[in-house]
Amino acid sequence: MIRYVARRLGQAAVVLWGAITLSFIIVQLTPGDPARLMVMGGEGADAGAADDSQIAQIRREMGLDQPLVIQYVSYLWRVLTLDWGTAYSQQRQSVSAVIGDNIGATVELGVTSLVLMTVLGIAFALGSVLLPTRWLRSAFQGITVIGIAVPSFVMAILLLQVFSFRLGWFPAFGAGDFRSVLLPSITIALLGAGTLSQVFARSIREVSAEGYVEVAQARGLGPAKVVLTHVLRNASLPVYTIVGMLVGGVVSGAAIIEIIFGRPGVGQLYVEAVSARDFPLIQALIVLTGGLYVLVTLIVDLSYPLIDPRVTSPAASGRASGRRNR
Amino acid sequence: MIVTPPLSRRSFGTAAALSALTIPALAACASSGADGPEEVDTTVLKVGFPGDSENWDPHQPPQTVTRAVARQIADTLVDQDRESGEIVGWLAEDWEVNEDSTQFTFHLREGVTFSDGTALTAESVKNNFDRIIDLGPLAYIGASHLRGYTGTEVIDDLTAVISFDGPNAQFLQAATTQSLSILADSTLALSPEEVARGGPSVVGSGAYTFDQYVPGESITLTRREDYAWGSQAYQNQGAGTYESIEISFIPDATTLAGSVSSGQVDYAFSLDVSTLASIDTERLHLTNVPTRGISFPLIPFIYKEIFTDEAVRRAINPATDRAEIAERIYQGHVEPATGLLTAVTPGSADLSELLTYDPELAESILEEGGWTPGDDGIRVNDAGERLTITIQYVGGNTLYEQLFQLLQTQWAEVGIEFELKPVTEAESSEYGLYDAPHDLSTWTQGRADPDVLRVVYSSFYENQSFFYGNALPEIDEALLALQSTTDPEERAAASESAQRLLLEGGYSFPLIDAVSLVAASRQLAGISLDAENKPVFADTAPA
Amino acid sequence: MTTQARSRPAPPRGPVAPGDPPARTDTTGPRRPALPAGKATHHGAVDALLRLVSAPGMTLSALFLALLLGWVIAPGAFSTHHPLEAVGTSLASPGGEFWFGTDLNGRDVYSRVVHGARLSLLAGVVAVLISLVVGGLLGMIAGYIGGFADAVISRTVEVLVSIPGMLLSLAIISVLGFGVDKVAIAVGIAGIPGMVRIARAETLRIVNLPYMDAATTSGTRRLTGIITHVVPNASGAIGVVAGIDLGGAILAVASLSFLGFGAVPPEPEWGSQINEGRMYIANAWWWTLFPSIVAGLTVLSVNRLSRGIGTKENR
Repeated sequence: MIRYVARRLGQAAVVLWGAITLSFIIVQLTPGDPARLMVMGGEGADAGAADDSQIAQIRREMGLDQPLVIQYVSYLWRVLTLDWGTAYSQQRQSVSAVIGDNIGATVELGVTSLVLMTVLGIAFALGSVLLPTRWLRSAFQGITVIGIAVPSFVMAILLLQVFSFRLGWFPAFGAGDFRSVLLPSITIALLGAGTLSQVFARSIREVSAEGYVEVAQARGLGPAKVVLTHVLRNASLPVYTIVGMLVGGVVSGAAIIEIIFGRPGVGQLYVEAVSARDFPLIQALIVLTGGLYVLVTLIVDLSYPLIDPRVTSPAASGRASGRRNR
Repeated sequence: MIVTPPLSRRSFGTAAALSALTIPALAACASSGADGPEEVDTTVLKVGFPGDSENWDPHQPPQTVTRAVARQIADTLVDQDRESGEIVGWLAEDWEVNEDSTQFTFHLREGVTFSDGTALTAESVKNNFDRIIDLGPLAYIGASHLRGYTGTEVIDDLTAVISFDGPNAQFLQAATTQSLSILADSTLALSPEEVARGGPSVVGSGAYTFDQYVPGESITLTRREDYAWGSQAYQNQGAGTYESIEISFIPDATTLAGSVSSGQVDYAFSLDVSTLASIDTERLHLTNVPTRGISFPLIPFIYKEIFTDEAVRRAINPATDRAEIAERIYQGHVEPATGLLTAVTPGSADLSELLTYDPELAESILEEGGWTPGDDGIRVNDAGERLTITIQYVGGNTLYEQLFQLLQTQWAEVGIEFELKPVTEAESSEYGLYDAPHDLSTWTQGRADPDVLRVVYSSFYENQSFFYGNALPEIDEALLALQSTTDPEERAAASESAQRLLLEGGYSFPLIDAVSLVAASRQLAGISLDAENKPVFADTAPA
Repeated sequence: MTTQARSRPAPPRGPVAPGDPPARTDTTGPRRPALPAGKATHHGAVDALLRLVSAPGMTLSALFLALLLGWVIAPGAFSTHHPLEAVGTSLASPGGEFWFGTDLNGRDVYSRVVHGARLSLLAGVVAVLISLVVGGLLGMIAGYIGGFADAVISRTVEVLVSIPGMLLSLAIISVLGFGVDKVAIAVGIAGIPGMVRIARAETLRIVNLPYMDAATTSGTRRLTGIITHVVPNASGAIGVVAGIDLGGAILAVASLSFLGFGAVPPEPEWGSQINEGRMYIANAWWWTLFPSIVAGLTVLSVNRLSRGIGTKENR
């Protein structure tokens, strides 16, 4: 077990290192001079006013005047020491400060979304399996499909029109009180709940097909009771393994949703950084989201044997980790 | 489906399935105003802005939202009456201009203090103007207003004389703009970056103080209880009615319009014209006022080969159907341009006879210029080159993009190909006005004075004047006449002759008179705006 | 959310622990429905078609996709107006003349949706082809050769997967720049890791089949084996996944168009049409809603059909 944990930690470190390297490569691949792009693209109205000394200064600050290997090593070192440099598109504040200002709102949005997504996903799955008539079950299956086929921005626009502008139930902007996080969270949750409930419903059916369910039914338990008592626990295991993917989905969703709802957060910050080509900020956010994913999957994998008693050997739970990104 | 006329009650017919949900809502909003005046809550005025400029130094680049905040927190020497265009007193009670418009003497009001407690003196005026000169390109609008500035002489505590090395007739009106706001010494001592970050360190003498700035999210302004020196253009010269102003940045245009419609903000400054049809004027005040400044044009880069050809330049204006643009793209909410200044700008001239839609004229100009129709209808010259005009712009399915597509079809009718190249924001800022990879550009510049023509259409100022480095001597000379006199009639005449030269030579293609759309809840008495259409919160009060 | 959706084609099944009743053949790779060896390719096309028609959802999906194919091949035959010309008043509501209403420029929304199918679907197909070819090849190499190549490829995939799809696409766009072609490439690259995983798992399954063992032991486990053994056997399952991916790719392209990196006007494309019209949703809902519905139905049909074929093949 300890060997397994050590190996898994090692894997996580390798992936994290890979994400850092990827963020380095992206800047290297960009055609043109990143320093020039950054000065010109940086500040909107006074862009284009940059002179060569300013560009030279940024080249120095970013170490762009060094050989590639040195650049890479010093980049790794700066990442390890959490020295992210300056966000050029954000009034030259430090990257850490800019992310610090924005991350709280995204965490709030993300956590709320995940909770709602889980609740909705389970409800849809149960509905599509348990409801008495075929018609109702199909209806619930139909709902889950919405999340897969409707673009997130269309969903956001429709929800805003109905629940904020027409009904006035939720505020349409800002990140002040708790109510303001609900509508954007519901949008993200509806999109993810489709996948979650499909995975869950399929799993319920599979587990139901196994022998002991028939035994339970033979003992005279009704379908609802069988599902709730015997099946649910076993069927929820595969859902647990896609948590990493769902977290990634929430971060992706946040990029668009934060823009439409005018919420501060790292999602809209990322889009802004991309259109302003603010590379230090892009790099930091790539490493941050990569790190988040690594952390979440690590927690899932390490705790998996605790949740599923049948999985005891490292090899078995190693397989669980191989599946999480689908 | 029922056709919904613009400005009627909002229709929301997404689908039959949704119609069950469209129960009349927001009852709170409709009823609370009826409870009687004693119930009126004046603690917070909630305002929606379309974005964060990320630079809140009143002296630095002139984004509209920055100026709208500057208007509340800082005062200027003089102000301009919205209706008459007349210059009226503010921090200066009185002023004199010498014969040749080179010296301006301001007599300051007594007892004015900045919100940090220090007093306004002639020294403050000097320090502010000196700072703007020092900032240079960072404060390029203010610096251009002060061009030729030789210094401010402090005669006594309350008298300042500002001198220029040549005539500067536009300076008096310039002194009403936020670019020349008067800030406290404590703010002037900070670095430009620190001031740009906004917040309580930006200190002026305005009716509100800059309490808090949360980047990307909001700004909070707090009332100054002891304010008693409002502009003579204000109805209320004392402290504001609302204790605080809470400004939220709502970048999505639909969300901003929805927020003011549903009462989530009381005041929206300013709306995108595309959302106008969703505004219910029975529930909201709506001002649809033309901006003062240049009318919205496409301006050719005359250093590009295609526009060195006079025939091409001259063919564009008659090939452009401005009425169709106003009707389709702006849904009839704007007027077609009648000159290079919007019709409401002081010193504007009606030159619509030079801007009539006449495709046959355009075709004959092109024929004479040697451009003959090619196989696909697009004209070619003797050398076989296609008549293609390219524009690069920041993509993203904006209203401009719709407008460009309409121009594409209009110009194609006379054989001109208009090519659209959407680019990212970063790409669009890789070039300036004088090394653009494309052929023409849009431009907006607000200013309630014809001098804006001199700044935009001359060769005088780098990064502001389109013909910098490619001087058109005749036009430069005509524009200079605007500087030599403060007499409105003489300036109007100078403005008209310069515009005529520009239009006849095909140096600008004005399209429409842009509008500022400001909406506010009917719980407010109305919408008060200054001469350049920025909100005046000191004058904003409940109904 | 949408880009992410495409990298999870076949939802995973329950964990396989030793002694887990439904025995599965793949013991090291991600779980997929166990496909009997090569069965997919050996089935008669007529047979498959007959089965298709037996399910009403699949029939409708097939019909809709056939219609879309018509739009792509001969848009002129299906559209009622010229897609680029002003044919009516601004924002005319839907009716007999303009089935989906008109947009701000007075162009027929229906005809633009028909003509937009080509660019929208093409971008999705190109994206999936990129994921399919690059991801499929890498996955097969990883699964077939194993060892060091497998380790390198698998770790690289882990890294790519760790960055949410939308953010990865955006990062690639920050390098490539503007346009539908670039959006398609960005979405395609973001889809590679998912495809590598599927291809690798399929390859492992095939390699572990008895007859492959024989081939291996007789010393023929070379790269050519990928072409002779793996490609024909794995293509069925991988194709199903690619089909499901296509739906996600269309949505991803639309999302990136929405963020302003999409088609060059006046060329119609669904994502930018949705975005153009969304400001007008309160008074001209048809402009944004009809393209949304068509895009949504496309994704649904593609998914339904791919899943359907996948299920039939598994039988």
